[in-house]
Amino acid sequence: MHRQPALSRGAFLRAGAGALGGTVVGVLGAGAAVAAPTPPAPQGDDLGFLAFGAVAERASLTFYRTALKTPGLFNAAERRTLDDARKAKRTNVTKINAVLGEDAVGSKDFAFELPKSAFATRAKAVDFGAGLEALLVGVYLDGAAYAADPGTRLLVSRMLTVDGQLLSALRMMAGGPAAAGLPNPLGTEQAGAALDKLLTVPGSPGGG
Amino acid sequence: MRRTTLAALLAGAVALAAPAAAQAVNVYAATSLTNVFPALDKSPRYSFGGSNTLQLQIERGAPADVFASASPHEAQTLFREGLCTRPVTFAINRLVLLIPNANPGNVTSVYSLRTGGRRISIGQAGVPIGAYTRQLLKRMRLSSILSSNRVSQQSNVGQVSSQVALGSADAGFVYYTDGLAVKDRTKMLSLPKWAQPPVRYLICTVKRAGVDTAGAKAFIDKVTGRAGRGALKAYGFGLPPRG
Repeated sequence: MHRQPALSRGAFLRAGAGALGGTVVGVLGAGAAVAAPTPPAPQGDDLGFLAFGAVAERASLTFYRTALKTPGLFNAAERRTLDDARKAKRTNVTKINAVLGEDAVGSKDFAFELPKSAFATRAKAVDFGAGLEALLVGVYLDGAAYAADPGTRLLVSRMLTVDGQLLSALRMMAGGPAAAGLPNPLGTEQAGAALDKLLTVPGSPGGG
Repeated sequence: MRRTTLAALLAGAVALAAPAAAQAVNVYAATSLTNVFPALDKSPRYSFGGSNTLQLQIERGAPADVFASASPHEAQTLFREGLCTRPVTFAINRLVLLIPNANPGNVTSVYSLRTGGRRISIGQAGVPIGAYTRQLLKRMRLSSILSSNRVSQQSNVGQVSSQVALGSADAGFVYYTDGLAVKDRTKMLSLPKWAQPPVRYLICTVKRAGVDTAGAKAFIDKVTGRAGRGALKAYGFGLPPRG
């Protein structure tokens, strides 16, 4: 198996992984970047971006945990990067749930069942993780453009920047360029269909 | 002598038993429990309705002994108000989109409703099925379907499933178990798992003067025990882990 060069978080950042982050800022435009720190107060269907994010971030968190637990896939430097990503995911979930309030997604609301085959090889694991990050980045891009509430747009944009960097890190692990451009914006319909394959609702009747 | 004593004992027993039999436990329960509760236990006197309506009745002093709600909100509110014991979760459900067998609205998924012009039946905002439906639609960013279609709002989930079964609505948002109850006339379309709000049923003993605490406890024990879990499962409900 061809093993890619080690990638530390520092190296990743020095390598200008921010290239993707830079693209993100470019996409958001100066208005969003300098927006006053308005607390998020989702209006109408803004909730959808955050609700999807809360569930998908938990799925992604499960990916990083599983990747770290699976022996022999990643070297020490890569494991540090994955561990940083795991921590970033936890922070994302906390931030989103704080805004969701009563609608917060609890740790027991869903069970995530990632396919074992996704961790059969290093390449498959990296590809799977990048796929999850691409879903998040796609939906956050949509949210950065269409969320009605400025505070929600700002929060979604910050999530987009974090997950955009993680996507770049995984791309670099796969031997690709960090700045391969942003994924296309995704609606929750398409992204949700992909996410649904990875989760179950404990106790839900009728196989739901 | 012995015969006289026996007769007296029997008469006493009958006298004691008669009022007990006459005073059945009053169970106030969510409409979606209409089929399963009587199948589990015929002896209580049941009042089925929207959980919010039943909550209001209990707050106004209705003679309920047990309250079973289709969402945590109502039972927990009564608990906070000191009007019922700490509620326990006894069943789980999920939302589905119900369509008539003939499917005159040509609804193939919830996303079909985006094109508008169809007749949709939903619960009122204050009743759990209505609150859950709106929450799910917000999560899916589909709230607009409530303005682009002709929406009929019902006071309980039974009325929503009846409207769809009778063909008065092209689609309705109901619980999975309510879909099962009209499965001969309708089809259920799944809704995304990731967008499902957690649908939890809670039960508690009402606190009021003259409440039948023992009867209420016996009923709740039955619902949360083996027989209750079996009946709930048979009627399509999901079950919480044994606690």
